[in-house]
Amino acid sequence: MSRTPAEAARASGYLVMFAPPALLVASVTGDAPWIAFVGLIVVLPFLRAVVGDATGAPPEWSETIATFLGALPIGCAVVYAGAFGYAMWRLGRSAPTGGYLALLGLSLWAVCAFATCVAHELLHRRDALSQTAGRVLSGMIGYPLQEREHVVHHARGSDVASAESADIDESVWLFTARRALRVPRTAWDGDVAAAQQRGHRLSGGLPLAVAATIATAMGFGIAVGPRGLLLYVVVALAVGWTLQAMTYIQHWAMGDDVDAKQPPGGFSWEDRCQLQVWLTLGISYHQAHHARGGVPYYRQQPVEGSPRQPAGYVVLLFASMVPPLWRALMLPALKRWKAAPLSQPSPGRRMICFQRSQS
Amino acid sequence: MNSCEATVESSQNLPNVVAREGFARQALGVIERVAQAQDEPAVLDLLYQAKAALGADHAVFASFVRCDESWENVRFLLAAPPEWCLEYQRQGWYGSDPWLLYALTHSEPVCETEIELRTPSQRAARALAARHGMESALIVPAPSSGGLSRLGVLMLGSSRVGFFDSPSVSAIKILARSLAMDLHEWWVRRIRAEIIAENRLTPDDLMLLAYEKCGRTSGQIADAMGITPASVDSRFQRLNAKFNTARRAGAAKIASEYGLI
Repeated sequence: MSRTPAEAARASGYLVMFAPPALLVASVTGDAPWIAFVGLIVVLPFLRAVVGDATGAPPEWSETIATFLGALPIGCAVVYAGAFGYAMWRLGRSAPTGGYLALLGLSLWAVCAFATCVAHELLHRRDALSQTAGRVLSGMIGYPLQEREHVVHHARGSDVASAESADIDESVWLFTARRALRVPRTAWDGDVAAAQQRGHRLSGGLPLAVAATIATAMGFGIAVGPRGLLLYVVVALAVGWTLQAMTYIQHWAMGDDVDAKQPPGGFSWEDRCQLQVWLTLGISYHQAHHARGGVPYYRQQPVEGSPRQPAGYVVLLFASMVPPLWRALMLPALKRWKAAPLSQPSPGRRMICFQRSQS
Repeated sequence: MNSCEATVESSQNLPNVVAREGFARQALGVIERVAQAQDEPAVLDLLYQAKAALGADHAVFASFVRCDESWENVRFLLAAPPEWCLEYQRQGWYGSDPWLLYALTHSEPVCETEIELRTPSQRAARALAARHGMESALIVPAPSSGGLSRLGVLMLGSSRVGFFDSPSVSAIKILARSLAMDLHEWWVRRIRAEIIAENRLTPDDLMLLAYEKCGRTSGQIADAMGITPASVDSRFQRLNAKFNTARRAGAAKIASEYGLI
């Protein structure tokens, strides 16, 4: 069995998934609650210049390394739980000011947003341990609807009417509002159907995730009082919105606006930034993920000819909040993809790809 | 008068269909040809003939995988309005479809009125079927045994309300069950062949997976196949990548679930 150092080194990149909970611990340990926010939202996009794009197909991976990579997200969920518990404990021992809590809220939001990627990977798995860990993690970060929302999202693919994909003229604000109305309504519905699939009357997983949310909210409430509870509620709402905004980024103009026949799972925007692939557990290979959702993150690879993002998720998230800026960035990229899907430029080591279409 | 016109005329109610001369013989004549169907158009043609023989206006056969919440592996044979299927796919009703859910947990054929609709999505999926001519439906699960994860369900529909709510449905159930199982077995064989071709699996690969399923070690497999243990490990590494698993036990489990070994 080949276990080359190169393969092990390549696998070690995925240890980056532990960076968000580590930064949360750093934020509450030092007197610098902004550390995780700055690290994940400000510094991260610049690291693209250092790491660049992922190249080549993933290796076959030896059984030992594949098993290690398979176990990483479960370990990461445990570390997230530990980091949250530690943060509550630290907050309980101090008397945080309003400013401190506001900065910590930004950090907590950034950490939770990246935790959705770990939860996403776990929720796609079929074994009970991973699914339980995914449900608890998604609940802990304040978004217990993640599993149900995601199942529907995969089934409906590129449907614009049900807010799975955004129309070319639709802003992130309208899209997220449409999804925010639809998702909670279908979550319970989906949970009942999931319970039926397992031959149960109740619980397809949603109650466990909701219990994790309530327990975490109580933890913050007990540690800091009403201000802690308020902090958690605001962060949870922000995480929920961020997840809908990410769906907007990944599927904008990929529904009814596409003339070409939709492939299995539909078209969606992909990015090959290696750091982002590590941190999001391959979610940035989004079209590939929709085509075959059961492929584990360490075996995922991009689809040739899929639409190429002009920048990473963090940059696009903030750009989407300003619709004219979003259109200025994305319309040329859309045009490039439609004109020549097999020869689109990638941002590579640049933060943003400004190249205009040749046609 | 062709066979379709004859069916329309005689299928005003189910007792008339069942009482038709040669009813069972005609249906069995179609069903027994399913196993020999070479490709999808051929088996679809047989489904059209079978629904006519059984007095139904529409027929759909769905083949799907247990524990696949993304419904990526669902396959349909559609002898029904294509607009229904298009709308169904656009809405992604798979996970909410009460008839698929019934087939996941039951094996006996039932009239759709016996299936409880528990959620708004389930009611919407049912209403969509009714809008496209499935006012009454007979749901016929095709369960699997031996660890196979793929299941099937035959849905026979009529545009006449209450068509299948008749004592005569018992005769239809016997034949429909036979049709559902033959279609299911046809799909299992077909998908097995597809997986082998797409993943370029060799007879040696399948033998390796079968040995793993029996719990043999690398050394024991190497002895049995006349190769080195390192070669066994290397081949399993390749198979793990093809089956998207981390370990050989996972690959053998999937191979077993898909009927490869």
